[in-house]
Amino acid sequence: MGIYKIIAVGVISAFIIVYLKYINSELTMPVTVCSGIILLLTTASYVYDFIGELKNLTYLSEIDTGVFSIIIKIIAISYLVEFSASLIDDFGLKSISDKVVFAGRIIILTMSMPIVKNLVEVIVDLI
Amino acid sequence: MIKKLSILIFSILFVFLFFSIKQVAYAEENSTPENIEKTIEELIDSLDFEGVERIYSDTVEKFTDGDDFKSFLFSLIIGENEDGYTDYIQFVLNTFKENVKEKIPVFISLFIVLILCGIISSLKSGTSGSGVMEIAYFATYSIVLCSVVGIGYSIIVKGKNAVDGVASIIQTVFPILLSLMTATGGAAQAAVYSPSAAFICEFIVIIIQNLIFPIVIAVMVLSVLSNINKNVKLKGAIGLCYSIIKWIIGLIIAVFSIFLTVKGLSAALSDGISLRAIKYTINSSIPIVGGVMKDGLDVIMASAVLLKNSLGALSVIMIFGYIIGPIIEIVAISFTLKLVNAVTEPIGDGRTFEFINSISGALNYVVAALLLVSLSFIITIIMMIITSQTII
Repeated sequence: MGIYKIIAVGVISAFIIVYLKYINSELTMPVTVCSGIILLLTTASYVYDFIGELKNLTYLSEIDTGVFSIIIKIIAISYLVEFSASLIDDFGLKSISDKVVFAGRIIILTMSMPIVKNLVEVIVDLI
Repeated sequence: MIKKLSILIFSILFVFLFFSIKQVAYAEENSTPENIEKTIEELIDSLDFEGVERIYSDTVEKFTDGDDFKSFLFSLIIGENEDGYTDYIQFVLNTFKENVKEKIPVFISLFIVLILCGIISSLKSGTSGSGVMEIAYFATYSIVLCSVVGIGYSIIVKGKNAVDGVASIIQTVFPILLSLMTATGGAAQAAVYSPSAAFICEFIVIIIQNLIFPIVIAVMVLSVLSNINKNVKLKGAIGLCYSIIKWIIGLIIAVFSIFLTVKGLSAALSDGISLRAIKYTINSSIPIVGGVMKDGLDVIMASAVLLKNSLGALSVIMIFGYIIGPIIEIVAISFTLKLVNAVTEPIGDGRTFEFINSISGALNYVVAALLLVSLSFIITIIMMIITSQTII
């Protein structure tokens, strides 16, 4: 099962990073990044299947596929920004991670502008 | 001696004659039920029921196997109406199912977005990325807000249209009932119930359209704002709005019921006294035919009262037939909203759960407002039927 692979990759990466801290601490950063990317890529197929099932459900509902794809992109961007910000934080470069987070917020706000505009129109119509 | 003998002979003759009579005389049959039915038919044909017939065809005709208004009213009067309780229950269940089926696409879309909200809230970790996740959560939450507020607003519009419809039924039926009441000698009662009809149409409907529904909309807006951000706390304001609505509905029902009951009964007593006085005058002052005329008056009065009471009962049935559709629709939507909310509660954030709960609670007051105006009308009709019994 895939979860055993993910657990195995995670545990082995942790052992390697802890070991490398004593031998060659400079190598811990690239190993951390690589293990994170490998774990993400391992779960990508499951995420793809899940999004496919949700998309099938949207055909039964009233959601526009454009709106659905916006939401998925927003979720993906937010998670990637958080992932990279925490990695950069691990390198000790808080200022760069803050800038990455800021950029991610701006991009998400820009993408979600049509949804927020729709919400404001609904509230104004109510009032 | 001779006198006593003659008395004895006359007594014996009298007893003999008394017991020898074999002819029995029958009084002519009055056929009172047939007289009443004929009078009722004439009364029904003489009245103009055009507006009421239109309402009947929209609300009740589907339950009556195609009977037209006048035949159904006559069958109500003579008591030949069959109770089709299973038909009514079947209608309620079918309407409920159809409304749920119609809204399934909306609720599936809400379900999907709530799952995505739940995924985002579960992905929140640490303090550095939480700002990004919060914005992503806000974007998906906005979609939930738009869907749920759209559903809530459509229900309020349905409720408004239903209240207007009930008001138009009251305006159509009441003049006929009041004129029948006046014609049956209930002038004092008509003077009491006429302002009560105006009270329902004008005051209660205006209060509901201009006060209760706007407060429900205000509750929806406050629910949106209080759940957008954890720092914005508006639960007290929402509770205040609910209290205002409850007080308004309670006061209207209490004042209206007490006023109608007291005034209606006292007016019925005064009408009963004046009618009995008229009957006594007819019976005692008109020689020979006074008694017949008094009986004739009784037949006409009984027919008119039967017609008025049956028309009142039919009005109550029409009101139920009219409001049952919107109420079932609103209940079905509210139920499905709560079901989706309950299913997504484990995986979602508490804010979406609180928001949808708040909106579902507000929608119950739409049903309450609709029932308020309908029950006010039904109480008035029932009082009109009950108090007219004291006249005859």
